[in-house]
Amino acid sequence: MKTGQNFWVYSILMVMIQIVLTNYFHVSPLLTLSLLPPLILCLPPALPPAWSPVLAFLVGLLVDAVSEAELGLNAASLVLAAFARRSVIKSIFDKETVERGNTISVRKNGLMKVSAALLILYTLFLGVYITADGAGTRGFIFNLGRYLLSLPLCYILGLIVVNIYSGNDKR
Amino acid sequence: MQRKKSIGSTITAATVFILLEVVSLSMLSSNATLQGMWFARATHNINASIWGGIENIGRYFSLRKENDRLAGENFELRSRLAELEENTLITGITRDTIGSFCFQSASIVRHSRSGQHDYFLIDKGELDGIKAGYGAITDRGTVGIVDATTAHYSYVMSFTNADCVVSARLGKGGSVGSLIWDGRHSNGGILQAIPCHVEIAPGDTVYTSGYSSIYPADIPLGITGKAKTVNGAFYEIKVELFEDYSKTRYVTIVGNIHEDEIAELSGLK
Repeated sequence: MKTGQNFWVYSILMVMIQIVLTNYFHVSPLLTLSLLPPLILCLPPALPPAWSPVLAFLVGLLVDAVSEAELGLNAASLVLAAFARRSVIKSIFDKETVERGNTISVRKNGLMKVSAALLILYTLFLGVYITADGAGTRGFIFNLGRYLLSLPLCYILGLIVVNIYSGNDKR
Repeated sequence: MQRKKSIGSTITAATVFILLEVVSLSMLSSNATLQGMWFARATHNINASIWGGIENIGRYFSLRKENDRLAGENFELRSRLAELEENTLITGITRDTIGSFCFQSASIVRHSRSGQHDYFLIDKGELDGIKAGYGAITDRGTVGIVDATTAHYSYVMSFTNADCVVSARLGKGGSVGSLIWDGRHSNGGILQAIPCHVEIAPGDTVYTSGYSSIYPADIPLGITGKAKTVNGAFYEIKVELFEDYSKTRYVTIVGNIHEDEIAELSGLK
């Protein structure tokens, strides 16, 4: 029960940090930072499949509404990542994680698996985000550069977020 | 049972995902101008592709109908063209002058094939300005020379007549010789009096030389075939004529308007 409460507290915290990042952290037009894909990855695995897109939509819409992003941009990107989440978990992690509803952590699942899951979800998220944000005005090379620059930094942020969520399990 | 439940939940998730994605993108397109234009453009492109594909399929299946329609239209146009040509020939409105030659269309009304002395009658005569000595041509070569005229008709000595000779040139700048009928084929001729030093290649085009006052220069007559030496000094070259005289129906009468001056200077008058 306490773990569940902590999850939602952490999630609210992550959303707030994301809002701050979106509003005030403009380093370069080639850099997009997001904490939302790891938040979606760390949703309880036992959650019914239809729920994760709904939660992703609400979270994305909230971030869009209170930040400078275009309304629907984070929502559209995150919904795709959330829809792919279950398939990614099933194909990368062992059956126990899915069937028993174990939370995902680097300690239990290994850095490689968590990294692979994060990279796939970030690729889907950034793919939609960068394409929709450019809206045909940016060339392919620019979009590719934005993706290649954003992915490593997002990945590092994602590992931190996953460690924060899995911190409960250690205790 | 478990499997059915799993499939059901996957379908539900997919439906929810599609629904939410559509809602998100709709919100994005309606709230952001740039994204709105982008989506509109993408939608138009998709619509164009779909409608274009459907249109192409429809056109493919209506090809037979279209072919029938075009064939009907073609037939109608040909009929109108023939009618127009006939009217033109009757009224003689095509009479025209280019340089020192005047042209007038005529229709062959009788064609006499009598061995080596072919002739034909045309439906134009003195009243139409036709005189003896005028030439008869088509777009594929010379046809004959007007020999005698009446008020409404003219007697034309056909090229397929042993007495008819046309001054012809081998190529546009080559040697000039005399072109006569080969006496056998309706599209066969012989180019005579070409000097032996001239290089001849089968397939060369033969034109009117323009040296006689009957025909204008550079009317294509035919293409050269085999050549043989005559008396060791000249070539006789077979010529495949463009005009098949057995099929000629319409001709253009061509007359030199300065013929009298030329004849006077040449001492013929």
